[in-house]
Amino acid sequence: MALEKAHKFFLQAFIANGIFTAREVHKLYRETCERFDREFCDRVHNEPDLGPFVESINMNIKPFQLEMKKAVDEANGVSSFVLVNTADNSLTKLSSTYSENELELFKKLVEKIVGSGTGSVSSIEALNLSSTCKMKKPEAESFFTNMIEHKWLKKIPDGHYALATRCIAECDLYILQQYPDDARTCNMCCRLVIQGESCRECNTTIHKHCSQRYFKDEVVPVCPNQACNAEWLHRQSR
Amino acid sequence: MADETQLMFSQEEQTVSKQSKVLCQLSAEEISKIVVDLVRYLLIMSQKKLPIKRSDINKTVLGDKSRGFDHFIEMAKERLSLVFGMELIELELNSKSYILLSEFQDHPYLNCYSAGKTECSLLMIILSFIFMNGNVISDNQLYDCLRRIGIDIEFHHEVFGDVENKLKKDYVRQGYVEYSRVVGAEPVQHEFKWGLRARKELSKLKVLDFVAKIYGEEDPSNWTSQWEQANAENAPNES
Repeated sequence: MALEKAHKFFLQAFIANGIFTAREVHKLYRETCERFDREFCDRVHNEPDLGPFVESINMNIKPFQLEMKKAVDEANGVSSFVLVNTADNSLTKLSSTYSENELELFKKLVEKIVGSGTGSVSSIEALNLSSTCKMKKPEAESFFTNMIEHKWLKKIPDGHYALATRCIAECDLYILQQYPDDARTCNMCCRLVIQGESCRECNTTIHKHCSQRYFKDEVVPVCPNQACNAEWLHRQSR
Repeated sequence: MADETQLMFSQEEQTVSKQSKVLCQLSAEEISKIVVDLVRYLLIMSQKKLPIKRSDINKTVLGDKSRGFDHFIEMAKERLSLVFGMELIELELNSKSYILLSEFQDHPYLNCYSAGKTECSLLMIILSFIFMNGNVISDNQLYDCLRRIGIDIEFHHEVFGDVENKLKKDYVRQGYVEYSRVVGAEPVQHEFKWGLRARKELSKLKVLDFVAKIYGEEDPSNWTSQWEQANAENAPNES
């Protein structure tokens, strides 16, 4: 098996960057086509014909337990492409660039975020975890900043830390396996949901973007759990 | 003479047979699994751009199969090139250190471009000085040049930090610059050149463009000698 230059070029950008939003991917794809004189399909939606291109990369990198996949930002519904590890030791990718202590701290942070119910923890709580990992607070802080830069973590408007799309795409299975009691799956798409909308009566949770689609035409939205049917409050508050 | 060749040949045969012994004991599946692990390991480790040591590869990936190292590394090298467009290079012959380079020059998402703006500009400035000076520059000359733009390597720089350390350690280890003693110079003198990674992953044209921008010069071809060099380098290349 071998890939064309254009595919390799595109793939290397992903290896270096990890994640691109759909908009960035299209830009990258356009640049790639220009550089290698490839035909660039501009369709009705002004979208390049990325699908088959990514597909042939995926076929070639699958043996190496790598995959490019689509992921959706839990907060704003923006879709991205992420290069993920499909090997079961999904923290391996991280482990190269970070020390053992840092990795330990990150695992603890993930645990705390998953168990928080809100899908985020305050920066003070996050920094307090450092002492259990033999790290000083300033060290931990610059580690978190680095994690934000590399799009594993994000800071949400209230200053809390939350898991960024790249992290969820990469570690979703790990989180579901590791924290079966706390990790929830979306009632709509069945994937892991960290920051979503929850029913106030039952345990049902769905992604914001899934909820938007599901309740689009509902006048009085109710919990998608048939046994519950309680009013879905999130939609009204908007 | 004939005996000598025979002797050499039989020695070679011996190493080969030792290797193939390791390989014979493994099934095709086992071999391809090792190669996959090795490729993954090399890709991950190359993110830091630092050389990857043979001993680390043996310890982390090959384990008791390290005898087949040469064979496995060849297979991994082929996969890295065919699928990922990366070239696995042994730093120097028998240095037992490997570095992974992109086959694409001036890849906008790689190298110094993705390391962050400040890091990138310092590196570009240094590579520019070397290139404009005729591909080699003595350490004192380079420090003078840097001082003139407000970077004194004897002091911690507000933006770039410990420049001397970056220059002599980080950039050298990452393969961006070479730092070596000038042969025969008295008193002892050192000089900087472009490293393997810079030569492979950056084009001189790109650097010349960068310099032209800094000088506010519209046309990089005004630096005749550099312009010729840059174009000569670019000619036989792809893309």
